Amino acid sequence: MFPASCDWLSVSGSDPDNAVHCQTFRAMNCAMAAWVATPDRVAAIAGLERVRELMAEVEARLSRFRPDSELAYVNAHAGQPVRVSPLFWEVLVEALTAAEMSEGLYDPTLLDALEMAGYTVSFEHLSVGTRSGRNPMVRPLWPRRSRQPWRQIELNPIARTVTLPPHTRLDLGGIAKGWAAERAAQHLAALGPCLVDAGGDLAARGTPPPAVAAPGQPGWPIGIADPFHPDRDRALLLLHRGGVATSGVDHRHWYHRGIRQHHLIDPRTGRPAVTDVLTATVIAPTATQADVLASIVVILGARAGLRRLLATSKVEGLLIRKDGRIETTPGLMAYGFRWL
Amino acid sequence: MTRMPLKLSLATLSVAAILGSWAVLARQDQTAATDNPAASPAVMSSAVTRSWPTPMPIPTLVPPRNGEGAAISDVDAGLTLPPIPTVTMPQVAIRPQPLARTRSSR
Repeated sequence: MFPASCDWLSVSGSDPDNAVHCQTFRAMNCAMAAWVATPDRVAAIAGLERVRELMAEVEARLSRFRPDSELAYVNAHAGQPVRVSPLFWEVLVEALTAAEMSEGLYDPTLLDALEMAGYTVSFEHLSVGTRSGRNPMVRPLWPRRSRQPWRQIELNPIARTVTLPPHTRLDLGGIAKGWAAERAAQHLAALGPCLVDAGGDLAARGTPPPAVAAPGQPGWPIGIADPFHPDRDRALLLLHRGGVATSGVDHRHWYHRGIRQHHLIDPRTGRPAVTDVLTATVIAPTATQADVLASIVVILGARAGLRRLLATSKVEGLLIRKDGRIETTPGLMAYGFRWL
Repeated sequence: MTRMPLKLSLATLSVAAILGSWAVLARQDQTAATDNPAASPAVMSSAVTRSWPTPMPIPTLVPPRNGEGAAISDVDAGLTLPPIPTVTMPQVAIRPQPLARTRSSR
């Protein structure tokens, strides 16, 4: 069994042709890991180091908590065309495409609403608070939102410039980790079968060697966390291509003015979604799509969220409700799904 | 200025590629054809037939000349088989344990 946690680089298996190399690190305030199976150890070290650099670049460019990030610069210049980096451009185009495909249920322009809910600093610095300060007479003044401001963002692909509508600010937190996992997996796939874990959003390419997979059960074994017991897995699936992501209100929640808040804003109300879903896990052709869809399912709630998954091709999912009930799409079995 | 058309085409291609990747999520008939037609049973069996080598003749078993206990090398004078190497079976988990975990961001 390959160690689930490796500090830097590890090699698994007695057969060097089937070696699996791993690197773990922190970025975007999350635990990150990448595995690649290749006999070329030197190439593996270089490839995994490139993954770490990519994650660091994504954080440096897209973090809303860094005043020197590219995102902060673009947000500070709403109303003016701003030339952006290729990375920023790609993530923004992907985000706007996701907004279009989800009919606005994913919205990259919800930063004002997120801050209004009290999510103003990186989560590890956020005071979770209590209900004690609750005063029903003092409620947040939720911002008035124009109708889907993301539709008014202007992109100039020739000059690679972005023009935000006035008083509009971007938050790419709902897509950045999935995009980073996907991009890293694309990079590592040139070396061999690989798996990238960006804070729980995962992208895989290729069948792993026997060091990590059982015969006849191709795929990288992925646990689905139990939100009621965060250190345990509720189920297992085998992923050999595409991505899987989990979104939920189980961890990132806090009290703001005595009212419980979380980070998944419903674009229809501009407020934290009122939902019966605790976590939603989605498998999709890419980790980016899985990331976005998982958040959408939580926002929609269990019934509408499950209907959404069933109506979408090449997508499977598992929902854990706040009352403990679990719903799955039938195609999950194709991924070697089983309960733990 | 002479490089403008190239920039245009690259940028257009990148947008088109992303749009294309999301298009697969459009609501479609889930009974679409398999992704990899080369993996269909008909194609695979054909490939196996073409690549299968000519069957080897079945060797005739020669009984030991001196009854029980005859050494293998005695069966065919002059032929000595190499020692059988010790094979250590790799420790493979029949039911794999999770390598990574999907969960809400933390």
